[in-house]
Amino acid sequence: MNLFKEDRFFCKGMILVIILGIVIRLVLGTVLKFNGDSYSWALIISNVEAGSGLYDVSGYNYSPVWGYILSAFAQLMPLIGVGEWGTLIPELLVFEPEQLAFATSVEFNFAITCLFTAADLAVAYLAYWIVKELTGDTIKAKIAFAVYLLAIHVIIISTAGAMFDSFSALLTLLCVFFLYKNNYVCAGAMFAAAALLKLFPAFLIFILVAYLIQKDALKWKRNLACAAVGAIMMSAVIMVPNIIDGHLMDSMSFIISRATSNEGIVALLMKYSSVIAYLIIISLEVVLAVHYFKKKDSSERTFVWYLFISIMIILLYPGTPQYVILLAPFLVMAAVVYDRRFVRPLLLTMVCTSMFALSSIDIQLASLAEYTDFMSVNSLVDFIRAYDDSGLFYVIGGIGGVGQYISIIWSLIIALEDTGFKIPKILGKRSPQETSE
Amino acid sequence: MEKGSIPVYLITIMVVMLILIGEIIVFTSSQDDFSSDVTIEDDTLTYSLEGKGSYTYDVVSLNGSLGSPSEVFVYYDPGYGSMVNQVSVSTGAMALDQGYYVEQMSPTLKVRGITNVKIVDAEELGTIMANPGYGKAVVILSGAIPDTVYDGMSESVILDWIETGGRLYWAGNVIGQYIAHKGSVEEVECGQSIFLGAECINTEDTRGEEVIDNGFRDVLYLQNNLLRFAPDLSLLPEDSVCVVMGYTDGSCNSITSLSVGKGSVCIFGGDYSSRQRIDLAQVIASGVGPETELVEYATGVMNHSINGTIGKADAVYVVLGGFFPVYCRLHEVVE
Repeated sequence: MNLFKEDRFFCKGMILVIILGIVIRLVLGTVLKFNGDSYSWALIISNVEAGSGLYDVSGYNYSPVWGYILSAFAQLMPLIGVGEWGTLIPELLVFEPEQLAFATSVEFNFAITCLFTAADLAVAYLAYWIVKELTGDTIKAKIAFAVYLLAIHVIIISTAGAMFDSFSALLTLLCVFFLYKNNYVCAGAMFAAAALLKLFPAFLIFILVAYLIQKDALKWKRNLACAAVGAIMMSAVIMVPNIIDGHLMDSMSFIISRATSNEGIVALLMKYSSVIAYLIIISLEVVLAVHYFKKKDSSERTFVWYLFISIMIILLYPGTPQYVILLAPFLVMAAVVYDRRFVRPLLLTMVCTSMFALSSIDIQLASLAEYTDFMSVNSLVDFIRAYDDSGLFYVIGGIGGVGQYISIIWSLIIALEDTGFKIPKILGKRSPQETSE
Repeated sequence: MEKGSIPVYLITIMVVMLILIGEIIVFTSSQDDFSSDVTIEDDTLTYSLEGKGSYTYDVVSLNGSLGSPSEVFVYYDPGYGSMVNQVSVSTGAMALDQGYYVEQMSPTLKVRGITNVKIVDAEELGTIMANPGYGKAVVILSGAIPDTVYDGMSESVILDWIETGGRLYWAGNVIGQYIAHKGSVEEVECGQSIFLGAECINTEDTRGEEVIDNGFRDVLYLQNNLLRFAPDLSLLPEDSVCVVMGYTDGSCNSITSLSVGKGSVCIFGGDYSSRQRIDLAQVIASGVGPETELVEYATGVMNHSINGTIGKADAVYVVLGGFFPVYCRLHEVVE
């Protein structure tokens, strides 16, 4: 029985997937929450509502886009029944870092999970739309939707992780959508919003420009200008009020100060290694864009493929679990559309990224302990101590982090092989054409 | 328009609307969105709170409150020596040095109704402290007191200023132990005794694991539990008048407010932290001093507005938002 066989989007299988995706998220996201981040979201909302904006009072270290989204969403929180946002658990004050002693309320967790769930649904729909456009196959498109929405690592990051990378993926996919539609102003605007939300999509500029030039050899200058106008307009809307308020440097602090806030040789090494790594990544992005350009293939299929490789190159500098969310819809699409060999690294990233994100499971239970009867605060303190002593944090986090990185490298090797680069045949070989038909 | 694309256009519109509406909210929200009032009614006080959303509220009546300071001066002079430890902050955050701490005091106090905040250098501090201190507050976060007001002797200008009613709020190092000169710092023998009457400051990096059971931690939402540079209560002179707040290890307390003459010295434990800054602002704004007693408090969740009554006292402090405050005000009760 094929649950996705019907032509219409809302077939039985899809309704089941959507209900499962939403229910799992809302349950997990309400009881499990990384309090370091959920505390920050509550603090940012309170600062904004108090009239301090995003940057007057310390607490917000990103560019303004996420702060805007949070502030707008906060207006709906009273409707969801959020009165108390969170509290400080004195028993947790003995643990470092300091913000981990806070637990956001289950109502607040539920509300914020609704926002992330909406973003995940939107990303899943865009994956569906793109796969349908690429293959014309509704079943494959529905599989892409279902795999993304039920991917365990995507669920964990949107719930326990409380991170907003799904919005980064969403804006990037919207940029792709508008490029498809030849609406370059909107594509530029979405690209700017994505790059200002989280830096990573900014690295995609090389492949995007190469595509624009390739797509229409006669009108590429006009198209590029339209995209630039869209990007400039969106950037101006987002940034100008902050520049006028004197907060330009504050809004860039996550990029500028991320490697300088700690002392010592490790911080120095991190600072310089990240600068060198990102210079190498930019160089690789340029090489990839040139390779794509020389291919003289302006089809959307080839463009999405190169975009997928481009994102994997960004992730060559090892990162935290949420970073792979930008890659997640592309990896799902690659496994469904291009080459089934991507299924294994996809499964590996699902398992390992989830482990990586759940390695701090002890403190993710703070809301459950403070606001429900399932667990007492004293039990939580005992669990945190036992978990710390056992070294499981390092084991689970280490295996998860290494596994996540291996899955990216594995995917990249397969992708480069399929693109025609000569990679040692350690993983077997199959061309994309063979598997996509 | 292709049917399958319609949801994508709707998603785009919603995302753009979220960004634009959020931006408008960020730049239009203000303290004017909230209000509070307290009136005397026979033997009780009637309070009313209004706000634009749903928040936890706390209304606390206090006796012996110092009231709102008429002016708050935050000392900061990069040309003078200082004596504070560098602290690490989470990834992406601004380094929490003295300059940033001082800069953050004004907006942190603004949310709590204190708008008359000035950053002053050593010369300006000398001029301010040459006048009686009654009703005024000075915050020193430099770990060293400038030589324009302190010479390591009990006749120093700063002590006269406190004794005439000034309120000194101190954090960052051992009080009185260092004199700041232009570009240097001088250590003082027994400097803490000049302010506290005894050598009683804890210099170990310890934490308070118990909440002090006098209600202030809960109603003021105090957060910092670091006890380095906090006085050991058992070593203070027996006739010391003080109130402690926050967290304790049994002898030292995260916040200690002591009477000195007609004025007060309030010491916040620990090296710099955002929590310490928030506690500092909360204690200044609430007017809690060495002789303040908590009379009664009311708490709950407010949806747009709430009214109620509370036990009569000198002052009423209102907090909206709990640990995530959006509005705090001190109402002094005048019959």
